[in-house]
Amino acid sequence: MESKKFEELHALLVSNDDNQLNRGYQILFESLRNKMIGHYIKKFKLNEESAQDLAHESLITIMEKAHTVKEPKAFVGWCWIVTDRKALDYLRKMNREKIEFNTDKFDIEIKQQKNINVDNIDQRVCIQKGTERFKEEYPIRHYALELFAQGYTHAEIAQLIDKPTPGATKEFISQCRKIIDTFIGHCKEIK
Amino acid sequence: MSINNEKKLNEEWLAFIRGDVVINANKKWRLHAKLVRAVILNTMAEEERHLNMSYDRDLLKFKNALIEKGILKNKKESINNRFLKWLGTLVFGATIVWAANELIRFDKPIPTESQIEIDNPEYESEKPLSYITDKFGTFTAFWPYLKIFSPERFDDPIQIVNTLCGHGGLEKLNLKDCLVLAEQNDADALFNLGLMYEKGISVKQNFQKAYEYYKKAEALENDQAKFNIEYLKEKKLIN
Repeated sequence: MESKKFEELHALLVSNDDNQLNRGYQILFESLRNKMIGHYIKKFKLNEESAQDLAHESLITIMEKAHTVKEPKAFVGWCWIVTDRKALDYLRKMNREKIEFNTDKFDIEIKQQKNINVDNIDQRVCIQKGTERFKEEYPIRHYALELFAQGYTHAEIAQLIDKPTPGATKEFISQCRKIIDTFIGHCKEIK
Repeated sequence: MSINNEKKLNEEWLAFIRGDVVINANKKWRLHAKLVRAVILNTMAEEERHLNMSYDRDLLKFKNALIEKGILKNKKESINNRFLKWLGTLVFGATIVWAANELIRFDKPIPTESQIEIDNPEYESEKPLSYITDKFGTFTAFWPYLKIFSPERFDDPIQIVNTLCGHGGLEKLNLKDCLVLAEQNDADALFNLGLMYEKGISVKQNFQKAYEYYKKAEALENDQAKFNIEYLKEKKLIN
């Protein structure tokens, strides 16, 4: 989805023309800043302040080293690699371990229905509360679902959540329905 | 539920999450998916709104960091630099044009090969053949009468060929010859007469008379006389 846009952005960032470079840094900031902060918060469970600092550093690194990317098509992927590496370096410095993806283990059989009291709430509120709890317990799946809802391809999502293949990502997202149903299944009964 | 149905349900549900249109879908799951999608998008919109509150501040911080690292150029600075370069070029160009018109002159003959061969010690300590000078041989830049460079006054008589008025230095000025030439309105002779009266050479020192001769010489466009008049006035040697 974003590949084409980032190819154009890459051309701006490696340009020697000051005007193009000025446009480039603004587009880069606009395209990646909020996504990066969200990425750090959702994938690495960082607080907002650290996420903002890391996003700032990542954007500077991208500006500094954009010329090292020889293939414009690979630019968007490279940007996310830089983003992840910054977070991993930061976590290493903070003596924290990388957030393990297996916190999202799919074990639907032993999950209990996580019903909440549905008295006096409508279906929308019930689903909102259930989704929030789903987000707390399965942050990566929720993040993947968010990306999917925004129209990211499986390949793009795979890169962002460190899945080996688009197929594995597809499977990962497909499981979301059953899992989220354990949080909001009871809401279907509310009129 | 069969595996196929389960798979179909998953695909339909995901299609709704993505915002696609699915025909003949399970109504219960359709509503379920649409509500989940709405919640997800609302949450994201709220997060976006929250992050955008510090957007401008962070953009400025990002820009400043890039300028600090030398990746971006400070627009204001580059405009100033460009203006200074432009101004410098203009002044330099104007100086050259003005100097070319007014100041550049050749004070010494260009030695030919045969002349160089002559064992002439003067040529060994030769000054550069051409340089920017004012009319009095003084180096000057854009402003011709800049006092730092220009002499305050002139003490040497002007050489006038084939006469004793100015030929052979200050001490050899001949009053008679100078007067003859002065009667013919020779500006250089008038200047030399002024110099004689000022210094008291061959005549009694008389600053007033010197001033009068200088004035006459100045009226005939003798530039040295102007300087000496200024000098007399400055030293209050005349009324």
